[in-house]
Amino acid sequence: MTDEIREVLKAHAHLRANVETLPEEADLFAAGMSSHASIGVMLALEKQFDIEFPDHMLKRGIFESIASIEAAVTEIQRQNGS
Amino acid sequence: MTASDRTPRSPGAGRSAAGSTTEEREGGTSDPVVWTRGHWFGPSGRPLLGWLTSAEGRPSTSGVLILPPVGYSYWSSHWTLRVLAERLAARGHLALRLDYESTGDSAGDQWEPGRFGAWRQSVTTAAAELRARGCSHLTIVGVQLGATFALLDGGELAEAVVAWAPVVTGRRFAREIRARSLEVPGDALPPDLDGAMVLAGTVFAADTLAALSQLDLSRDVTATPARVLLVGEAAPPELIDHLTSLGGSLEQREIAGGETALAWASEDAIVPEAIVKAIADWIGTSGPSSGEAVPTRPEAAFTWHGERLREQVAELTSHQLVGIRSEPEDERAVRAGGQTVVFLNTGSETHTGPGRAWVEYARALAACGYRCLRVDYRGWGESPDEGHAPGRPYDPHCEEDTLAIIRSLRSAGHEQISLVGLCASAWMALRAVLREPVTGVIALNPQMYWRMGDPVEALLQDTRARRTPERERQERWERVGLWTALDHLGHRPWAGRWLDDLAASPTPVTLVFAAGDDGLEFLQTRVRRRLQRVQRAAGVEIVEVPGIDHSMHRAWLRPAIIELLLRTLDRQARARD
Repeated sequence: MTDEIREVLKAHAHLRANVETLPEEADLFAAGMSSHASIGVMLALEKQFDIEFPDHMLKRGIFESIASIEAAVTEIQRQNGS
Repeated sequence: MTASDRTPRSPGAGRSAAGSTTEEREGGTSDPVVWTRGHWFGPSGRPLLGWLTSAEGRPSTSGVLILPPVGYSYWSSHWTLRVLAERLAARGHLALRLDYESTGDSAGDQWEPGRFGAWRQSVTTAAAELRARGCSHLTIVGVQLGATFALLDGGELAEAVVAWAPVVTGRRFAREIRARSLEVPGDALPPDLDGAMVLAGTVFAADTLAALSQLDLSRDVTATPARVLLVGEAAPPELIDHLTSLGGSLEQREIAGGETALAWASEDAIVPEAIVKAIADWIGTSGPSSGEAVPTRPEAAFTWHGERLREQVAELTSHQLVGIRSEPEDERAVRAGGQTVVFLNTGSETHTGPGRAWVEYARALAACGYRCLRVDYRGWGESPDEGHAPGRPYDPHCEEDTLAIIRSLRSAGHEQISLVGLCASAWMALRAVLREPVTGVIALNPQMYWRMGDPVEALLQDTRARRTPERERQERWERVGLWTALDHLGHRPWAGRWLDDLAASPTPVTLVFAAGDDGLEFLQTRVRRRLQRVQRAAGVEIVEVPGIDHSMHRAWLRPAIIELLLRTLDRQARARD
């Protein structure tokens, strides 16, 4: 899943840092992702994993790092039974 | 300091996407001068502030109500909408740029419930205001959520609507806000709110997000005016079909580039010339107007958190800088000997401050008896641009404007003046007081490593990335004590000498930093010994505030900042005495 998340970030996050080598806990906003770009990331993640982030998960912190994104996607997939 | 003698200005001159001026773009024809004045109107208990722009102050039978976005794009799009208003005024229209209730300079607190309905009601009030001024033909131009309001209510209120990038599906918009926002901690919520998110300082309460989530323009628009223009990216087919089914004339102009005013940081934003031109051309020219100058109401009184305040649109300095003055309504409540507190522009944002912080701080201080002024430099907000538009952080003329503001206030009888700036404007205040001492400076997150000519980035994280080699070098040599040794020997960098100058000046200085802010890190690394010295000398004070962010967008922490401002103003006044 991490590789897929990195692909999404590569296409939509407009990071200054190299996504391939970015630590999973690294702060994506500090690495150059704008608040506006985070929306592109959210929509691309929903498409990539065929999920929809529920309202309670829609907060800036969820999109703060690869690890937090992975945890959220995993949780949604678990709830969806997939 | 009144709004009665405003200098006219030519429409839309200044930096644009094309890097040219209106006059050049429109073939060198001479444009009539246009006038803009702040105007309070609407309910006496909850007055709204709008900016009326007209050709040479004349009235018009054609009014254009301009509805801004809600949220961060309000600041990014401000200059674009000002340029649009000036262009329209030059073509004979009377343009009114509205601040919805609890946004911008209008009355109302953004933490109150029922904001969605209040914003919509503001549109109705503003349309009625233009009608009352003799506008028999009304066009509403809305942007983003403003465009949504224009489409929802334009059929009842106007003869024409321009919708630029409307929010078509509220659910998606609400989801985007949530995803970009910080959640307000439960213990920081007012008792009448179930929850709230904060996006760049703008509060979206749970009931606002719920109302937005219900919105669907492809269903909810029940009437359209005779003419409608959709401009920007292509509108969804469902919306086109729905609006077409309601009758009237619907036109679409797909024009790219709107993101330069709607999605870019305010410090980078530029006027999307093609969109502005398309809107102005579609609205066209109004017939010649005559009659008395457009009357305006520059002053209003209202209640803010239980206290009665008066706010006045003000002009000062020979440049006729524009600002809003806040003070207790009752003159007897003004603090004897208290400072006049001046809030200086942050980033490229208007005098309303980051996420409206300057409005909230100024009103809170006024409620405690201070006179406050939030004011625009040339090229910012509502001030004349004189070739400086749109204003950018660290523009060199800001130091001269700061000095001019101090001198203008002083000549108007304000003997005690304190300056409040954030980041670049804190930097400007710290430079200006070396030449013109004041009662105090409260510098929020100043970056004292910055020197004239250095690059300017919109985001501090980008500055931090650029400065990484420099920071690492400074940390390395700090660890081995080089900077302290050099300081002992009298070799001090520019910032160290600046600190010395501030400590030696008669102006008490308080540097307030978000915990871990780059500006503080620099001082503690590169000029640690100098910092300790000037703090001991008591001329410069450092305050570190946990939890706040560089831009002070965490709106729920503002009460703590207000407390800090009050304590600091009091301390600086006592130091003076």
